Formats: sequence, C-alpha cells, structure tokens
Amino acid sequence: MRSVGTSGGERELAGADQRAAFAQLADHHLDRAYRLAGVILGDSFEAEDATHDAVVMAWRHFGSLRDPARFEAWFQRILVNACRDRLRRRRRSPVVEIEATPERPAGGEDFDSVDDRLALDRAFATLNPDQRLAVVLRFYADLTVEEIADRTGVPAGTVKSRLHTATQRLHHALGPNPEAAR
Amino acid sequence: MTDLSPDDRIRTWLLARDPGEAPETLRTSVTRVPYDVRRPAIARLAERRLPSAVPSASPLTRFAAWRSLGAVVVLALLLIGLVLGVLLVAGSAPRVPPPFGRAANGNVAYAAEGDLYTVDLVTGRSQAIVTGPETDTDPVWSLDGSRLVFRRSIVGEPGERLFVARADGSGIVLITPEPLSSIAGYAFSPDGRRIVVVSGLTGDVTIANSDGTGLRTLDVSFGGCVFANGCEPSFRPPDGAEIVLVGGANSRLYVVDATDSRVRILAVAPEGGGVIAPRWSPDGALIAYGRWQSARALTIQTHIVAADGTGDRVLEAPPGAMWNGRPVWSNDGTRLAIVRGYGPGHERDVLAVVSAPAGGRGIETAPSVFDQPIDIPPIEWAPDDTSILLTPFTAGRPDHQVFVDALTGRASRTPWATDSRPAWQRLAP
Repeated sequence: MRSVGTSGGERELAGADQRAAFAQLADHHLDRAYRLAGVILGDSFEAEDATHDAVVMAWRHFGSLRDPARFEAWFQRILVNACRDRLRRRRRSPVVEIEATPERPAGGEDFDSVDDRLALDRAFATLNPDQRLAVVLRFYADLTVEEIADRTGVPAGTVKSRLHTATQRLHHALGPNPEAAR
Repeated sequence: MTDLSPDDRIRTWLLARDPGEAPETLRTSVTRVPYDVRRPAIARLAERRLPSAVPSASPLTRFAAWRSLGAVVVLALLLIGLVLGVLLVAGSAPRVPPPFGRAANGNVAYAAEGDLYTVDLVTGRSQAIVTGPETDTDPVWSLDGSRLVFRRSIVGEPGERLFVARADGSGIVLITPEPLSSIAGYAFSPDGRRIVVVSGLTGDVTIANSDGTGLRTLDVSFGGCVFANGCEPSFRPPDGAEIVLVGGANSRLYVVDATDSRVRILAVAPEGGGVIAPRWSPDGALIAYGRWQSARALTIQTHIVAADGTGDRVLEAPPGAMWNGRPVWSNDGTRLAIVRGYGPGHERDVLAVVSAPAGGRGIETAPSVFDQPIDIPPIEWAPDDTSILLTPFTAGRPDHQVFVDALTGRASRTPWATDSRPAWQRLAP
C-alpha cells in the first residue's frame, strides 16, 4: 500500500514480533478497556464482546499505528467506537423492562445512594450514545474535554455541548443540590 | 452521600457500574487475536484490464462486395428493424435527469429505527421501503434518482455492509460482502455504475460496481478521517474520473484518480487545524471545503480552490461570524449553503445561503432552526434549488429534519424524525 502524507523511515516489525508486541500491549490495556466498556454499556457480557471487537479491530489496523506510545489513546478510540456502535444498535434490540424495585442495599450502602443509582440509571438511559460516552469519559475516565474530543472524533466545542446537556439532565435527576441550598 | 456534589455523585454512580477486572476467558481470547485473526491484505491490487486480443483484419476475398448484394439488402432491413426497436424501447423507458444541474424534486429518503422510508413531498405520505431486523441507515440517492445505497448492520456482528436498492426498496444487492468499520461516507458515480466508500481508521478507499461486482480497494492509504460527519468522498463532475477525499486524520484533502489510483494533494491544513467536507462545484471546476485553525474552538472557514489545487481563497464571511463552514453547492452552481456560527461553539448557529464564489452575509435563518445543536448538520439542496434540507444533530436525537426556503431563510420542521443524512431524489425536469 502506498502511504500518502506520512513520514518515511518507519520501522517494520517482523510478523512474529508484531504479533507478540500486539498481544503484550492488548493484555496490558485489557483491564482498563474492559472496565471502561462495562461502565459505558452497563452490561459485563456486552462489555466483553465490545472489548473483543475492539481488540480485533485494533489488530487489523495495528500496522497503521505509528507510535506505540500512543497505543492506549488509539485503542481507547477504537473501543469507544465499538461501544457507540453497540449503544446505537440497541435501538433495534428487544428491551425488557425491569421493574424498579429498590432492594435494601448490602454493605453499608445507604438509601440515598440507592435513590441516586435509580435516578441516574433512568436519566442515563435517556441520553443518546454520544452523550453517554462524554459523561463516562469525563467523570469515570477523568479525561479532559480535549482528550474526549480526540477519543470521540468531534471538536472540543461539541464535547462541551454534549457534556453540558448530559450533566444538566443527570443533575436534574438527582434533584436539588443540598450543598447549593446551604 | 448527599454531602457530595452532583458531579461526585455521578462519579460514585459510574464507579458502581465498573465490572472490575477482565474475566480470564476474555484475556485468553484477546491474547490469541493476533495469532487467530488474519489481518486483511494490506493492499488489494487494482483490477487490471488485460489487453484484449485485437482481432486480425479479415482479408477481403473475391467473393465479397457486388456478389453479396442480396446479403446487404437483408442486413439493411435488419438494421432498420433494430433502430425502430431501440426507439420504441427508449420511448417507453423512464426519463432520468442529468447527473448535475437543476432537476425536479422527487422523494426524500430517510432512516428511522433501523428501517428506510421515502416520503412523497406532495402527499406527505411516508412509505417504508426497506424493513427487517437489520439496522439500515443513511440512504444516498444515485444522481439519476433510480436507486439508493445505504449501510446495514446486524446486532452481534461487527461493522457494516453497503447495499443498493431500487427507489422503491426492491432488488436489494449486496455491494461490500466483507463488513466495513468506521465508514466515513459513500457516493454514487455520476453514471450510477460505481460506488466509492471510505472506511476504516486508515481511510481505505473501495470502489465497487453498483450491481455488486468488481469490488476493489485502491492502492492508497489516506490516514482516515476522524469525524463522523463531513468526510464523505465524491466523484468529480461530469465524468467521475477523480474522487476528492479527506485524509491524514483531517489534515489533508486528496484527489485520487478513480482508474489508476494516482494521488495528488489538494490542500493541507495548518498545524493544529484541519480540513473537512470537500464538495465539487457542479461543473467540476472548483472545490469548496471547510478549514479550521484550532481544535479548541470552532474557527472553521469556507475555502474555495480550483480543481487543480490553485487559487485557494477564503470565502468572505460577514462581520461577527466566528466560523463559516461546511459549504454545499446549489445544483446550478451559483450559490453555497453554509452553516455559520456567531459564537465559538454552537450557541448561535444559522444556515446561510450566499452567492458563489462571492460569499458575504447572504440569507440567514434564525438561530432557533438548530435548537441546541451538538454538531454541524449535514445539508442538501432540493434538486430544483428552491429549498434546503438539513438534519440538525441536537441533544435529543433522532430529531426532525428541517426545510429551509433558499430565498427567504424561513424554516420548517419535517413531520418525520430521523438521524440520517438528508437525501433528496432527483427526477427528470
């Protein structure tokens, strides 16, 4: 393949070395990727599938990665895309309504956190896939707006707008902020 | 718990969704991937046309000419019959519009909940044309309005495949048997016989015949396009000899010869900036595209450049406009529809119709047309150039599309809701 607009002189790894290098990188980043997918999708089985899809996709395009130090960001972008595809396809999947019957939490979890969980579960479900990704990448993965823009492939202004709308909805679901009321 | 700020309560809730370490089965299968999954061939050679055998000229024999007068008469009669037959067939075939220039308005195609619909704008009646358990989206009309290309995904399968259907949804043909990832866009050639699609993180360019044959990947890599909107490839009018593409992670515009894959760089983005959404003028002489200076705020401006890459200049924007991008030519080539912002984000977005290539303020819609947009919308002119159809990407997708009167800027929402790109059928005038 003729490479257009890329710097020359890149080092080609032998096939076997490349497989080993990829396997090592994938293994190293697996836990973080799976956990991120789990938080985005809210389903551990689907998180497994999305992570596996992302690894396959990453391997297929591993030759295009110029800088191994960028693997994590590059792979995270692929994973985020895989999760977004799954969120979008859910519109076509049968949905089973689960009755919201809060159980008494174990392990010291108080009623407020149960209320929070239910409220946020419901509010999160009303967000579109792009808003969900923005929320998870900001509040779970602790990425900056610019980093989220990089992972999701949209301008920073778009990320800000998505975050603004999504957090407003989540805040609204949580009800009045007692801190602010003081 | 309630002592925490709302943001911290969100963080706590998200941490509770964390499934923990990856299960061992996943770890085992993931580390096997590079050994079990065959990587695609890096390049598929472009189809080569083998030199066809040139038939040797038959020598004239002494039995020809005057002695075959009877045969000549028979041949003439056959020819006359053939011509009459062709005229009859041509007379009964549906009239189609030319691929460029103004045409009559046909149906709008759109996707909703994974199915494809067309809506008759005269009666206002929507009709499902492609349905089923698959998720079908983003229909794009051929330039003669006879067919649609769209993408399809299936739950549980990675990637998407392209299909072509007739305007009524019948005769569905698979175009890309292997699933494609990260499809940036696709388009019909002017004669409707080919389809170009850009996909993958590296920007693979694939051309296929619209009857499902002749799939080939061009011998080039463009480094991909990072945006989901504004990276559609398109064939150059009038003959489709070249294709303009965004590549290098939105750092360059390329023009590639559709036959021999020769590549030339049309425009290079400034450091830290980018390029997006190139569109050929209907006569194929110019390309309008968007270029920005910084990813931190919207600074996109419309540029117009000659097809050979010379004369690149910024389209004049009105005072106060902080960005002025995503240009789309009218079918007669005299105007551009542009999305314009009077703030660094999407706070005060308007759609503007300006004369081309002069630019200026032109006619603007009210900012309310976009209703909390989260991205610059894809837009398409009506085939007769009287109005513009756009899909606002708002916070609560899917949303209604919006018609904008190209002369007054008045806007109205469509009765149907969709998140697919606008697609308006061209019909013979």
